[in-house]
Amino acid sequence: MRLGSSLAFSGASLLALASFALASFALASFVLASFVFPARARACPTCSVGDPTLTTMGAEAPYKNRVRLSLAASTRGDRLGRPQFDEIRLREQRFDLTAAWSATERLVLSFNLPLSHRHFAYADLSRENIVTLGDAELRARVILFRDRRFSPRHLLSMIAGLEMPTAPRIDRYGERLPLEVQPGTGSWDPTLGLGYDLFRNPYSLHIIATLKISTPGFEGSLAGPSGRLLATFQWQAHQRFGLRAGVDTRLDGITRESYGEVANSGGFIAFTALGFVASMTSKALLHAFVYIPTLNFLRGEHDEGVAASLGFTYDI
Amino acid sequence: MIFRLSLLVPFAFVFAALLILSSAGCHSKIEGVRLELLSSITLNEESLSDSEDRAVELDRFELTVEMVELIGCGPGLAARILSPLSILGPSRARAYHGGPTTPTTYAHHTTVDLTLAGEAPFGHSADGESDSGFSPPANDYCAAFVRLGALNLIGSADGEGFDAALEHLRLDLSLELGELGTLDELEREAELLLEIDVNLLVKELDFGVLMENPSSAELFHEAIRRATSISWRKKPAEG
Repeated sequence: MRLGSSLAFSGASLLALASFALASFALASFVLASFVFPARARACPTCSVGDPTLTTMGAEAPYKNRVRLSLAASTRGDRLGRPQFDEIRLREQRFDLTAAWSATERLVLSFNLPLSHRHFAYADLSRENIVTLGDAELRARVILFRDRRFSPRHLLSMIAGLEMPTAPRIDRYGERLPLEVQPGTGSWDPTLGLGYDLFRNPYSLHIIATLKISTPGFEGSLAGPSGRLLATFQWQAHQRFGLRAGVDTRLDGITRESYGEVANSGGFIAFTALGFVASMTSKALLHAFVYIPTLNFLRGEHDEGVAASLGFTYDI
Repeated sequence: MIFRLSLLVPFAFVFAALLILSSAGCHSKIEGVRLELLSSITLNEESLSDSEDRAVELDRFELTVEMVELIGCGPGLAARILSPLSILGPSRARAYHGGPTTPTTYAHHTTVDLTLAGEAPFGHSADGESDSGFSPPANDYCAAFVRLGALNLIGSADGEGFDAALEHLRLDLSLELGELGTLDELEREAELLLEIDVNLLVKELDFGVLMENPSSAELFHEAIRRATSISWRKKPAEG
């Protein structure tokens, strides 16, 4: 029985490792390719919007038919439950593949497909590795206001998104794990929000506030509404390099299951975000961030750890 | 054009990797700690006698265990002194009593045959070995909470027949372990034995009184308390 388990683990682990090596190799080769094949002097994205600010996905000034692709790798930790009782420790490595298309100068449509590797460590010392899709998201960003058409300084936008239940349910001993550590909610979750971008070279400010309202998911479970505020200040110290600092805060409502409220759910957490963006070519951007949990008022036995991300964005 | 295509190839590569991974449903697991539960019956049929020295013969004697909940040891003295609030708390064991779905609880009903001396695994044979144990949290355990359910006793005392069928004994036992029960990285498998000394149990009963009140569960309580204990041992190596 034990031998069988360990053999199964070896096989699946090898497959998981091989698959992640493949994805990592793809990311690396993508970054490398942008160096090896430097961009020609076609209309550069920053030239097209008349502002040299290096912008990550979702904060850009759109122009018609601007297409961006992004691949980001991130890692984060989560701890849920009482130690030596029902504790679950989660370490997640995640790839986000995002494509964004500016249909008009005022409308950007984007699609995000996450893939995550989740390592669970339980109180009974069992360990589990799962590679799975997360919840894919469709998002629209509508520019409500721009102070001028070319080289805008102020952009006010509305965000509407829809998270789709593409992530599978993760069970343990036939019981579903808490929603807080699932890769998805099993529900269609609409998001609404507002964004504001200020471009004052060499400084820029990006603020996004969103509210996600979940609909009933796995077995009627209902994740609480989740409000998120992301504010990032950027100082572009060099034409091709910018430093970033900001806050990423989240206020979650309480999750409800058929038996009532989930004890270790909901609450508030604020991360301090530090990072940089660097332009590798006129079309390729590299960005890296570290998120440090600064204020943790999550309900019950719930902690989130340091998170980090490394991403690559390319303008087609 | 070549440049554009060369950059799209890695993207396609990533996308393909995503699709392969999601469809493969990659999953691996390392088992955690495991605790097997066994009943351990001590019985010498030849010397069975009740409190009034009546010779007792047992045709059927079954006891149902409804739940076994492990109780973790409380923090040590040093930890209690360092934590000012916990000094007011319990010093020995910390009971959770979270119910049958908590991770420290084994909640399969198990009928223990008290007429068979020796050890027998918990659970039902129809379910295979899957429910003869469970995976509680790794911890140091000092006690167990045992909930008993039905009791069936058919036999005779000095040749006089006796039949008692109690649907609910309504008896909860808090049984302390003589020595620490540990489940950790080094000791990943162990066994918890529910020990019942049937001779002692019968010796504590007055069959004359029982015959007059065959449906009185309370008459069994003290006898079962005295005759029942638990012990912890490392799981013997297989094969």
